[in-house]
Amino acid sequence: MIVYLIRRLLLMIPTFFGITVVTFVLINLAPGSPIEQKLQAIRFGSAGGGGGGGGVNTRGDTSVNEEVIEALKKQYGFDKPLHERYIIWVKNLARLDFGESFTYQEPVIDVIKSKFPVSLQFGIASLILTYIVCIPLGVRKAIKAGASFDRFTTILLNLTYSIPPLVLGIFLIVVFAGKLNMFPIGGIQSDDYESLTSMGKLWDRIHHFVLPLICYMIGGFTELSVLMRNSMLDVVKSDFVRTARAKGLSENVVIFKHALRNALIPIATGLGGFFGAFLAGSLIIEQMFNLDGIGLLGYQSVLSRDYNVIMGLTFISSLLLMFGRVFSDIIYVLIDPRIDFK
Amino acid sequence: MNMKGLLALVLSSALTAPALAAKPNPNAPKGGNFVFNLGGEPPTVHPITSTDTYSRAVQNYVCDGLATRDSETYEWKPRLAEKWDISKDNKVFTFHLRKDAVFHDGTPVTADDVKFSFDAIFEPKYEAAHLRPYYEGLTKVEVLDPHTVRFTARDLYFNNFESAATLTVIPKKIYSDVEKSKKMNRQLMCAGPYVLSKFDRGQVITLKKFDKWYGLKDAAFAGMYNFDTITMRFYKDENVELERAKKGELDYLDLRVEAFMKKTEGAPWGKTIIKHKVQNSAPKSYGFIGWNFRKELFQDRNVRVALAHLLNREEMNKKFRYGMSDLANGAIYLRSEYNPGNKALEFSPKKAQELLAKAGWTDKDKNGVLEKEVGGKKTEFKFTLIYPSKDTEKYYTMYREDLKKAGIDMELKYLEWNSFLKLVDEGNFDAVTMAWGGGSVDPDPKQIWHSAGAVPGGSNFIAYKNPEVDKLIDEARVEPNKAKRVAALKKVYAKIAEDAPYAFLFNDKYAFYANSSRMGMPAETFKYEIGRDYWWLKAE
Repeated sequence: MIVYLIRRLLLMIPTFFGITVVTFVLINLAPGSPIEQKLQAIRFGSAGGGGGGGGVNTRGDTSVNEEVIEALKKQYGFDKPLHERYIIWVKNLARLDFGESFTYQEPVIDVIKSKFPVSLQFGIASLILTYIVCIPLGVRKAIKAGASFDRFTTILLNLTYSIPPLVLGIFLIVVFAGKLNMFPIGGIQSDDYESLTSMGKLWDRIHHFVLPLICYMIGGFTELSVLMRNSMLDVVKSDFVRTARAKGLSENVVIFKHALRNALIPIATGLGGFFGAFLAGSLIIEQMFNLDGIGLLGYQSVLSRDYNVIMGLTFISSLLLMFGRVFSDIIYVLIDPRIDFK
Repeated sequence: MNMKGLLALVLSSALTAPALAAKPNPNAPKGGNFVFNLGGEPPTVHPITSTDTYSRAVQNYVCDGLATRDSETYEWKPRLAEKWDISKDNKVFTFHLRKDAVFHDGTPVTADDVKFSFDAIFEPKYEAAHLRPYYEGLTKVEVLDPHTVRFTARDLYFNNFESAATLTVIPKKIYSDVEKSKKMNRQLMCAGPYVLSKFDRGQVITLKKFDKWYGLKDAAFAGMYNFDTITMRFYKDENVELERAKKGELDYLDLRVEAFMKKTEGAPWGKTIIKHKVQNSAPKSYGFIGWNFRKELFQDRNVRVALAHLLNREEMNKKFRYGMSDLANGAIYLRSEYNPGNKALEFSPKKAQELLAKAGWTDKDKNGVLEKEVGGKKTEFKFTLIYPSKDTEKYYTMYREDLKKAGIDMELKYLEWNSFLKLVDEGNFDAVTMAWGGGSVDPDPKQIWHSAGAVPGGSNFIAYKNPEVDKLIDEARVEPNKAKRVAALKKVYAKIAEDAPYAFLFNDKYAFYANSSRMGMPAETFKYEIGRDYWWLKAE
């Protein structure tokens, strides 16, 4: 196992370079570099992305002079060839310097750090809640397989799975936040948050969390419940469970002591996603509920070609993803000691 | 004066008074918090490095320039400068600063600060290369005494004064330390009527009235900036914005025509939130389909006019715009004083057919597509229209069908904004559709219509070239007399409309907005803007 882990960790190095080189080359090949973005702002008055703006260059001239373009190139380090810029990026990375965001004009790490807590809170909350609900639900569905409870919940889960988060979000906002006025429309806290008591603060946060959290969880919910149900069904049919029953053990002992542990193995794969929860962010949900998180940052960085932020996010998420995989493998072994990676 | 004379006087003043004359209310109640949605979050509010419209909206409250335009007359009005002199040759502008103007830290605004604000833009360390094109017409700024500053212009360009007058004045003491100032992305120090008091990332920007602002004691600003605090939100989603407004959480919101007509019916609209449909003289944007003059297909004027005749704008306006738009008649806002009043091209397949036949396009082989001999080779009338916004696709689908009936095969191609712009910049397209913003009340057509702009990256991306238009534009740009400039530019716009380089689409007829019933306002709109700076909070 140790040897395996070391091998996996070493393999991360080429994987890391593979991911970052491809991303670096791709974003640099895409039209609309940060310089072009600035030139667009000069020509169209920062209306980029829409249908075009209009004649705001007060000089009325049509092209920006060479000197300005050269200055912009220098400002962003684009006066060097692509491979040189990548090497510089890697060198800086070794000093944990991700460079500066072109948009925010702040160090990338500060920008990511400022958005990170929001996504982390939702990531962890939805991960824990999903597991707490889906494992018992999946087990119960398996025990009652084919019965009305199983059928009803399957229909319900399929229905919720097929609702796009965007539609669900609008529905929740209009009905529960708007018409019924039960929840706030968005944000993570009230304006008077600072003046609240500790309990008041906690309640305020929970109040703000409910609607976006439902949107975050809705998809994963169905997947995990169905996976748990099917895995449980497979295990329940296996020989050792039949033997346990034949020994006269109570149904609870058979299910929860013998079957559950084995049925959890496929579910454990998902636990590697725990690392992903650190960067969980959904563009649609964050935009709709006015949450200032990683999802929106990533999307906006791609649109505005904020190369350093894109590379920073790619680096962090690929690292978390790779560690997540290794973590899943370790959990496999913990749950089922028979598994041995060699 | 007898009754007849009085009546004549009343009548004549009624006829000469501007239709929309709105006056600020000098007795407007003061105080309260005004909440509105900025629509997005400014990445930085730094006065030199910021580029987006959101930061500009914040800076409009927090920063002052030397002079500003009047919302009703569009005349220049003193701001940080109490008066100014313009040299006879129109190249030197001397501004005399107010003596009572101070920055938000209490230090006085001096000529040194004005010079610094200008020089900083050209100082490479500030990384403000993007701002330079706006100020290239000015060569230098000199300090004559602590309260007098002189700008010298490079040439006679009519907009040079505007560049100088609207320069954002920032304190040298605070911003001269480049490294320190670069970290001031969420702080802003200027001399405007409001102080930036809070900028919470992702949440809110709060402004507080600046109690030492010079304007508070100046009658010229009576009735303006009545709120104690202003709160700006960053909601991007329209549904969220409307729900927030319904809950009473927003005092002002812009509405799109769809929202005005469809999403804002029944209570609380009309009760606690009041909708407005107003007409003012602020220039409005226009959409267009541009024909690439580099392609032989579009070089014949008859073809371009025929293509415009096949665009059923009346129907599109009715179907997609609730009839709330005007049909654009050229490259300038319909109600602008610069508009020469050309007749908008109407939808007429018959006229189109005649013009196409005149240009040699006929369907001899009866396969439904027009053809013509070009260089001894039979060529069919086919082209591709590129567009960057899915929202407008329905218009072009309708257009495609009408073109098809006339024997023209148009293919539609949607492209992401940056990829779209790459093709446009390279001139590598047949036809393109976009929209130009309203631009300035006093327009300068050079950027879009002069042949000097028909270069890679230029705004004359369709490569329209008319030497007569070029000459008139060049003359108008250095003409300080507005009446003469209007006359010259009317000719320019008339010629452009005649050449039909674009098939012009629509001009917005109205501005739509809503405000909470807590708001008081002197008028629904001023002549050149809605006039939110004159609003107040009604007593409970």
